[in-house]
Amino acid sequence: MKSRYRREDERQLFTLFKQLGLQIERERDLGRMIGYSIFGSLLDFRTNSNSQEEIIFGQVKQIHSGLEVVVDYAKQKEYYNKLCELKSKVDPWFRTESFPRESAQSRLMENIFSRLYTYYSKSYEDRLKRDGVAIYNEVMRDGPLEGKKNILIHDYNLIDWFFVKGGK
Amino acid sequence: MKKKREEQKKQYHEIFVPFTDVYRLGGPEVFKNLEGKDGNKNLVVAPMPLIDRLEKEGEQYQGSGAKDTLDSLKKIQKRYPADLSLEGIAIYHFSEGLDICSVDKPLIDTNDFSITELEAKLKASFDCEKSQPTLITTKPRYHMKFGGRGMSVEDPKFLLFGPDTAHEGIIEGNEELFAKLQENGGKINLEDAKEILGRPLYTHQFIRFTEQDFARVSGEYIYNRDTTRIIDMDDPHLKLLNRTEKSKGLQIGSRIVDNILGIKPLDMEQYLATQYGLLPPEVELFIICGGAGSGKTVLSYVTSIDNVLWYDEQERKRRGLNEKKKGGRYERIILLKPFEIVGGSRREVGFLPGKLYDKIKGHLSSYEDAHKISDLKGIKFEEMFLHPKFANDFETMRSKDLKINGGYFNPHSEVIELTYSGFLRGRSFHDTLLLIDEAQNFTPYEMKTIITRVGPGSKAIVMGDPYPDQLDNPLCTPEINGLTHSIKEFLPYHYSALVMLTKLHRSQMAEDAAKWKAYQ
Repeated sequence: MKSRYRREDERQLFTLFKQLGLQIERERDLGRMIGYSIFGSLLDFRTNSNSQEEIIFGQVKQIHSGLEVVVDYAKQKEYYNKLCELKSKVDPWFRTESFPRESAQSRLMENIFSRLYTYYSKSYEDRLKRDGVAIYNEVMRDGPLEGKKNILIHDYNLIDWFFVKGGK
Repeated sequence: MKKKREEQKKQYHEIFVPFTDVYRLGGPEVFKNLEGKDGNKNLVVAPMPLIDRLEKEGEQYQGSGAKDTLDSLKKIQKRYPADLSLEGIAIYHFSEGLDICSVDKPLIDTNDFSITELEAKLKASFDCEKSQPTLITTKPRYHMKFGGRGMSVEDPKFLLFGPDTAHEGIIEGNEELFAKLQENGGKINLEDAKEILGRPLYTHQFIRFTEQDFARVSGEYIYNRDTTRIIDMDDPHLKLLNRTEKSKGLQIGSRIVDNILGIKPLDMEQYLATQYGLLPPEVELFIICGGAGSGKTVLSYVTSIDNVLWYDEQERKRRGLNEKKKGGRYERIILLKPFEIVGGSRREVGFLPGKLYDKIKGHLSSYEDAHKISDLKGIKFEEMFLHPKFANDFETMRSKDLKINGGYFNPHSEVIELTYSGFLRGRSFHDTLLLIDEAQNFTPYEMKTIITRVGPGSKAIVMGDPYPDQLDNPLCTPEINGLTHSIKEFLPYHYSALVMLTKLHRSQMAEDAAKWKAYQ
């Protein structure tokens, strides 16, 4: 007998945040994990495509994958270890003047970094946390979506709205 | 004729047309916020049809924003002579940076008023450096309607302070700052801390480094001569909290206790809120944010009750109170809820059957829960609202000789007086502890009028949820409401503090309800 398909079973920010929220008790810790995970995941994004749509969708899928890994760690009560790992990847971008920043291929990550570095270079951790809390609350309010393409567009726009445009 | 009209055209930097919802939210403060800066002069346009609507809405809805705006316009009209050189337009000089004009017949058709027509008439009558007048409203339908016609429509940015402001109470530190503090014996000059963190810092703000390591912005208060006001701060610094504070023992006067009326802080956030926000009298305005289940109501309730209890001379001495003067730190508690929640135009409390307490107790359930889990559980919750000497609105008197924790209740008044935002006119509160609940359901202007009532010797505790699942006040949004506005306005002052309790409170049912598409 086929199991009943549920909208929330599709990989999207709502389901991933919901799973994470079950494991992490504090909203501020959740915000930090989300912020660092999004940024950290985009650092690893690579593509050979010339299609704008594929590049956008690829970045969102990269973020989804990164969050899935975080959820796994959180289920084993080891999310803090994962956070430390993400911090070791992300922090040098802000702390080291000579850090080779050309390695990133994600335009979304560049835009996020540009905003953080320009306005919050010394307090980027606090900003990542707050943006993480903000996107978490918005996603949970919106609820789950249907349709792969719809999800990817929606999730991309939300990440862009909160992490690049600052939610304004 | 055309040349004369063009010569008469006044020049403005920007022209604004605020809609009535903006005045209901922001009151007459809207005018100050729209003043031009750096030598520029702006114009606020008040068409008579919108003024008429504002008057009707002022009668229909509670909240004094509309009424106070109309009163302010009347004062402006009387004080400043109008420039009537343009037909149907009366211009009043508000300040160097702002003129206010009313627009009436024959310039516009007041029976069939059209914003589009008004915009065209304004363009013809005034020169504006920004190419077109700006409509200001929070209403989505007007953004879509007029934005779709190519008109400039904006939110009232001066009221837009989103939930992000609630995170200002406890901010994340960085390794450099933590290291610097540890190198300097746990304390550094505030300017150095700001430099390292790259942002402003305010008195009573907390910096978090780890789960247990926090630093606090502090200093020595400088008071005015009669010590009624804090003028400044001497030696402003950032200081790591003492390691002993990790045990979350609460200092009340000269004693360390682990609970207040049976309630212990469960984590460092709750500890910081209690020790540095709810307890200290020098924090005259404390804003505590959090969702349901975060503990904000419990902590606020028990610390408030503790602060109004009449203790014996020895205990008063321990607490730093006047040993010779009987009484608690405050005379009583005023519990203030938004009018929309408790009564008001949509739900008339008077029509409900039963005693007043029975009618409103549904709105006090979170306090009753707090009461029942504390050491107060041996006393009926209703007793908190009863007068000791006569039957008040609750139709009965308080029981005699109620004691708790070695203290007893004020023999001259209720412990808690419940009131609504609409009933504050003409009142000011002295030696009172004001609990302002559900602050996200007050408009920014309402919150301002409430806080102006707080008199000498009083303390205001503002409670709210910056990420509410729902807002009962139709005017308020998560971006525009009394809670976020009061954080933005008051955080820079030395007498205020803010803590957000971040324990996740979203229930499984609430999450599942978010998936529910009712229109399918």
